[in-house]
Amino acid sequence: MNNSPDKSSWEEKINALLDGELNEEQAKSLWAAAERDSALDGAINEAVELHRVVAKLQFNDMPRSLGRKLRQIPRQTSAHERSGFLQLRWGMVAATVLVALMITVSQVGPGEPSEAEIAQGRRDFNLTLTYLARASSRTSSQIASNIGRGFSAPVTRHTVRVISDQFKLNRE
Amino acid sequence: MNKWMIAVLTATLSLSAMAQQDELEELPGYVEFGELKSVYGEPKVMINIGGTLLNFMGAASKHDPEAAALLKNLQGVRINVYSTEGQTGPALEQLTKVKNMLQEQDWEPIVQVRETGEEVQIFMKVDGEAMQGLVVMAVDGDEAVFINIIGMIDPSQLAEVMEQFDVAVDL
Repeated sequence: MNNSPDKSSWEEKINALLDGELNEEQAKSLWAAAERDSALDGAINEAVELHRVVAKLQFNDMPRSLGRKLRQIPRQTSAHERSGFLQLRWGMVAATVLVALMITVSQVGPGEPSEAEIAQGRRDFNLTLTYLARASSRTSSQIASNIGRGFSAPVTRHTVRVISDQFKLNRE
Repeated sequence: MNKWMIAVLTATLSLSAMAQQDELEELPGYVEFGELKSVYGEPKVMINIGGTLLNFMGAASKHDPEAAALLKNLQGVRINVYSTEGQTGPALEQLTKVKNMLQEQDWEPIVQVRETGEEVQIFMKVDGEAMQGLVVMAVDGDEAVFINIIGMIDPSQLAEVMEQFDVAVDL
């Protein structure tokens, strides 16, 4: 991509495109230019994807100043950045988004699980309990031989019952 | 673009998983079971449920107060199950290593069953009157099972929940 005078305004046009501020003719003109210039085409695609990522970020979960900074990035342009803006700008956005995500994750941890994840968690938990119960069935005969079959009867069904009674015995 | 997106999304997922894993590793009831993948391949069952998901599962169990109370106090549930296909040696060796480690760390042995080619070990970590962690290791000719339940566990409460989850012994 060269730095012709027309291309120096692409950044603003890309921002305007993302914000829905270009009219039909201006948008067509930008897309036509993108068809002729693969670097511009790539920059537009990159901007669109990053715009989606930024839009999904929970700004309330990160420091206010960082959220403000992220919102401002698509607007900030200095004269000396314009020469190589397409790579620098969106690369900077991506790096900033990454930092923001790191801070967000470290501050608030993973987000609220979906109903499907909760249902899967319940199935996983049930499977874990099933394996606990199987371990119990293996240990029950040993318990019976050690402490007597009559006493072991109430604890033979589940490992936790075995553990519970053993725990009480240990405590006593 | 794609490389940036991949980097960002990969970092997000990795950070989330790492944050949960790091959180669990800090807890006194957490136990590292070591590595058996190189011997038995990928585990047939591998479950890691973190505290966040357990809390939400508890909140979703309002109709089941025992389960809600139990899940609320749990901080993690982990299970690895490998198919041994008759080769119990490496799994029993790993079980012994973990058992020795637990004894050094003052875990209490609860049940120990040793038969030819088969072993079951159950340990728990106690702080005062409350359990902080439970470990169940069971190895036989079919599979090697390593379970770690982390958090405040009331055994009788767990038994009640098992009844209500309609847990079957046969898989």
